[in-house]
Amino acid sequence: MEHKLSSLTSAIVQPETLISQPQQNRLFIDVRLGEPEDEFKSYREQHIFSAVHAQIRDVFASPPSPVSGNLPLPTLEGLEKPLQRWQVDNDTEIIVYGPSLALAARAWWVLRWAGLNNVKVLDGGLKAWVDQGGSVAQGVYEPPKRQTPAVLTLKPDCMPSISVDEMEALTGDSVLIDARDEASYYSGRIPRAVNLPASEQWTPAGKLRTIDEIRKLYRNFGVDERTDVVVYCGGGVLSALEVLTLQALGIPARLYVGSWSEWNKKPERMAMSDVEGEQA
Amino acid sequence: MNNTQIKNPIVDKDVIICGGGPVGLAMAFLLGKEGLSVSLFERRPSTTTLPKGQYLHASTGELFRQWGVWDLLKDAGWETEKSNGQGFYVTVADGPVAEIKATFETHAAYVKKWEKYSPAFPRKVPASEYESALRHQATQWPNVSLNFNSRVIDVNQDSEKVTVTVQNAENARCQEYRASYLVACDGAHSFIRSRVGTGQDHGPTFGNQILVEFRADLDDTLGKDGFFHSFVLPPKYAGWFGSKHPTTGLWRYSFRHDEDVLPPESVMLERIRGALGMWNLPIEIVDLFRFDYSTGLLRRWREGNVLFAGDAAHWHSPWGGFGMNSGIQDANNLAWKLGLVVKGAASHQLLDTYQIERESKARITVKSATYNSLHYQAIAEAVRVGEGRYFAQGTISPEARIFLEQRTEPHGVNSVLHTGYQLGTVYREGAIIASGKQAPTPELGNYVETIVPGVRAPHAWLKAANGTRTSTIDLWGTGFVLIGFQCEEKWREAAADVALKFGITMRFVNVGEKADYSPEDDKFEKLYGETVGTPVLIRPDGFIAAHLCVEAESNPRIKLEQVITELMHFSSDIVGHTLEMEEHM
Repeated sequence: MEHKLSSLTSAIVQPETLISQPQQNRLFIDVRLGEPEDEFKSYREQHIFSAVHAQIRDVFASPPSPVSGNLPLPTLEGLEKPLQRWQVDNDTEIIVYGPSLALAARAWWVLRWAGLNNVKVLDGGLKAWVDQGGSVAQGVYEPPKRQTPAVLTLKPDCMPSISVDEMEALTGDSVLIDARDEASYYSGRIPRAVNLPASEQWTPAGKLRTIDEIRKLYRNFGVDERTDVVVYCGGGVLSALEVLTLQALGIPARLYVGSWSEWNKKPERMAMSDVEGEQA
Repeated sequence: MNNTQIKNPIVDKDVIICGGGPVGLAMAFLLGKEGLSVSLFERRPSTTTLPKGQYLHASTGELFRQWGVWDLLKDAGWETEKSNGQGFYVTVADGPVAEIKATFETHAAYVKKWEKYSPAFPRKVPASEYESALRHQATQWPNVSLNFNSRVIDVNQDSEKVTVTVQNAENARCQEYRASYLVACDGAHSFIRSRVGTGQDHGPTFGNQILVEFRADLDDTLGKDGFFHSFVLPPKYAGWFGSKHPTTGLWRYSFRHDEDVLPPESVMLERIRGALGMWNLPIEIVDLFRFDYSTGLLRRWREGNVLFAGDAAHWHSPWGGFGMNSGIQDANNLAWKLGLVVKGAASHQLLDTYQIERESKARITVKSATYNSLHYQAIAEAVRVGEGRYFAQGTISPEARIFLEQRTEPHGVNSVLHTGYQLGTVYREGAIIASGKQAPTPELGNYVETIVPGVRAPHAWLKAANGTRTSTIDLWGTGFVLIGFQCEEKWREAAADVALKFGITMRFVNVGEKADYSPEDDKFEKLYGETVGTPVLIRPDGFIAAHLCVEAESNPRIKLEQVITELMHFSSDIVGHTLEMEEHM
């Protein structure tokens, strides 16, 4: 396991660890972002036993405004409601997983941002869980009500992020990473951004690549423990995965939640952006 | 609950059954016979009308004989000659290119062949018929109430009781019921499981299956060939025809359709006619169903006072007809145990033997059903490759024919029937007392008769004093039976004494000359004479619990008491351990 990123951080967990260390106060969240109806159907067909269903748009984001990105941060009140329904308290061990590691990472980032400390991304998601002999279920899971009400205190800004104004003022001292795929990157990007697609960090089976592999991806852009890093993508999902892996490697990175979908809302910013065909 | 509604007082029962399919109805019948007060809730307005679940295994037939259901079904279902195995076609009009048959003989010869192993025989009966027969038998008990149009919308349990809220589908009124136990027989998408269950293992999903019921004159073609399933090979019409329904007279055609929108009637008609190769045949489409099959096995079949049976505990594809049959066996395994526990004759741990025994069978069942689905698909897919030119001429290549023969051959007579699956069930642990001998490893195809504890007590023909022909199987189903070949009569007294002491039903059946029954042939002696002079104990579900062996001869009553005590107070460290471990998952 020492080649796995989960050996460096408690924010990433292997299914076998969860299975061998049962926990009373543990909540699985099955995180989705696709067509709500299809995603809910797929959740109902199979999910990790005792996982609740969460659509990122409803839980880990608030509705977009004309000037915001696609997935702005949720309000604390908005986030609190589902967490209370799921009987989450300050100590609950929250395990997030989804069809892609990036979806889980977005949920992880938002929960950590809101001050919850015991949040983990399940490496490999549902498939790895099943491969390891974890139990699954059909239907819809509702966590049973607690005898005593859960104490849940959320507070904002517990994760480093960067606003659009700060983005505009960002200097060349920081490495700015665009976590989207190459095609999106080349069709329009924030000035000075380098492209490191998040999808390069997981295997076709949906497991994180090894420590050495991921470290090398960042080193290619001169990123190490001393670098100031900012990550963005389309709407703060793929980039959250890179914040997660950077953090595992001991590199604190700021997330630009608004990302390209916010950046491109203002013509003045677009005027200074690199668009199709130009060099980065 | 709405404030304006008058809340009726809660109704107390011994056992609540959720689901009125074959498993729930069998459960209701059996618990009713045990004298328990039972309420069954089913959300549908009545028993099923769906054209599926038609394969009655011999093992189910045996129970139906005990329950009076077999007689009700005497004239029901398909004749053997019209529901015999599987045929493969390019088009139906061109005749079969390969076939698997359960028998190449007449119905009478088929029954005769099965008589060696069972007083029943595998047959095809529509679910609608056997469900209504089961319902009919269950309603004979005044202590059983069957409630259709009743949807269970909430379930809660404390350490003592399970409470459910039931909503009437017609007037939306709710009523609460409380019972010592709840048995969830509510199918593959079990509501109770989604609320109370704690984890499953899943297998493949077989989605988007369409089943069309239609009226057409096919008696001289499909009907004459007599297959239960007729597979059509060419990819354009890939699917299968089911034999003509014995009561509605409708034919069935099933195929896979991966779109949400159903094809229009004109396309459907073209497809059916194409598969038949009968372009001018008048066809009336009567009904259309969409099915999705998933595969899964529940990890814990008991959560406190809630137990899971049938599809709610193990669900899978319909190929092989395992679903209803294994579900009925679940009910038969659980009912007598629940009866003894509720009446206080046995400790509640006896209920833990239910999962231990039936899960071993379910594990084989989910694998077999999955294998069948994939295997038939694999044969058809493989045969299709490279046949375009031949399909266009309404035939298949000589190589395809050889391939089909070779692939279907291992699925010959016995495989279609799964004699071993049907009759060779073995419980290796549970509510049994091992004799030191090992029962043969269960095989799907072959059945080896034995009386090792843990097996279904085998069939032998007997003659009653009045000359009536009876199967040993017909003696089971009402309490325990102590049976042996030419045993000493002191066992009769012992059985009566011990039954009284434990508050159970148990009778002694002596077989031999001038005994209760005389054997029709030497089979009984060969099997049950293995324990000469001492009887074997048969559980109420017809499985062998124990041999009452040699040292007991001196005092049958003490030996019998020991055996019954051990059975009634089952406890297993292994079970306790697993339950505790998984509680925290």
